[in-house]
Amino acid sequence: MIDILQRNLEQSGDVVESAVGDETVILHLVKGTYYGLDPVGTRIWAMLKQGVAIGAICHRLADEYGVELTVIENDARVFLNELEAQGILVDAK
Amino acid sequence: MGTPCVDRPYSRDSDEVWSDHQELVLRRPRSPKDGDYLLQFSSKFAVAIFCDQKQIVEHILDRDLSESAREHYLVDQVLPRILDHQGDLVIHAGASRVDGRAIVLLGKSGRGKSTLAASFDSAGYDLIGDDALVISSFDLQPRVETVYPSLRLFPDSVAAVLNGSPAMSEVTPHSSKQRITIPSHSEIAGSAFPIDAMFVLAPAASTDLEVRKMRTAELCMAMVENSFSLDPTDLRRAQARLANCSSVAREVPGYMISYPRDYALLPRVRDKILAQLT
Repeated sequence: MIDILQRNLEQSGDVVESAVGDETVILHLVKGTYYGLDPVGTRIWAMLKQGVAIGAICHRLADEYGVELTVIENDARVFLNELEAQGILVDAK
Repeated sequence: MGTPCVDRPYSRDSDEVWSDHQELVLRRPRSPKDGDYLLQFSSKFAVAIFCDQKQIVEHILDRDLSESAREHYLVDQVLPRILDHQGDLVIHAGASRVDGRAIVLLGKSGRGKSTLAASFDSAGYDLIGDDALVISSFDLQPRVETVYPSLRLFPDSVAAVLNGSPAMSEVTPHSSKQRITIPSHSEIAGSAFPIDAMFVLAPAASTDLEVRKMRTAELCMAMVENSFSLDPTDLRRAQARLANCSSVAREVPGYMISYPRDYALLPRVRDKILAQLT
C-alpha cells in the first residue's frame, strides 16, 4: 500500500465547506456527515486545495512550528487517512 | 394543507435521491406532473412537492394512518423541509423567551430539549417553539421564530414539568409522546426574537451538571447536524445552509450542557443556563 504522504489527493466533489474563524467545517453531502478542522488542519486543507504536494506541506509545517519532520509526517498521516475515510479527500484524477 | 390523493394517483416512477436509513426516503419523480420531489415515510405516507407552485399533494399509503400521524408527518417533517428548500434556515431545536430575547436548545432526539423548554415555560420563561425554528438575520443579530407553537413530550415529562392539565393529543400511534399546544402569546406568534445564546444538550458525562463554552466551529457543526433539509444532496443549498450556520455561530455564543436526566435537577439546569447569559 502506498504511503498516503506519497499519494496525489484532492478534495471530493461531494463536499462543501465554510470557514468559521480560524477553523473549517466540511460537510459531505452524500454521506450527510460533517467534519471540523482545527487551525492547523485548516492550513493543511488550504494548501492541499492550492495543489501543494503533501510532502512539501509537511516540510513547511515542520519549519514553521520547529517540530521534527517525522512527527509532522506521522500526524499528517493520521489526519489525511481520516479525511480519506470520511470521503473528503479522494485520489486526484 | 395539500390535496387528497383521490384525483392524483401515487406514482412510483421515481429515483431515490437520499435516505435517512430509518423511515424517510427522498425521491425525484421522473415526470414533472408527479412533482419535483417525493418525500416518503416508510409505507405509510408520502408527499409530492411542487416547488414553483408552492403546492404539496399528500398520498396516504396506509389506510390505517391516523389523523395525528398525518399531522405529525406534515407539521414535524414536511413543513420544516419545505421552508428550508425555500431558503430559510430551519433547525430542530426548542427556544424560550428570556427578557425579550431567546435562548435556543439544540440536541438530538431524546436528549431532553423539549422537557427543558417546557420546564422554562413553567418557570415563567415563555416557550417560543419546539421542534422547528426558523433563524434569520444571520450576519447581524441572528433571530429565531417558531414554525408552530407546540411541544412533544412523553407523559412522564408532562406530569413532571408542566403546570395544570394542558390539552394533549397523540403524536403517532407508535409513540407515547403527546403533542401539547401552548396557549399562544400574541406577542410571540409571528415574532422573531434576537438569540442570546445557544445551548447544545449532550449526554450526561457524569453525575454533575456541566457547562462549557463551545468553539465557534463546534456550534456551527451542531447547527448543521440539527438543521432540516429537503434535499441534503443539493450542493447550492447545502453550501448556503453551511454558510448561514457559520454566520450564526460567529455571532451567537454556544455552550455544551450535560446533566443527568433527573426532573429534580431542572431548576439548577435553568439557573446554570441563565447564568451564562449576558
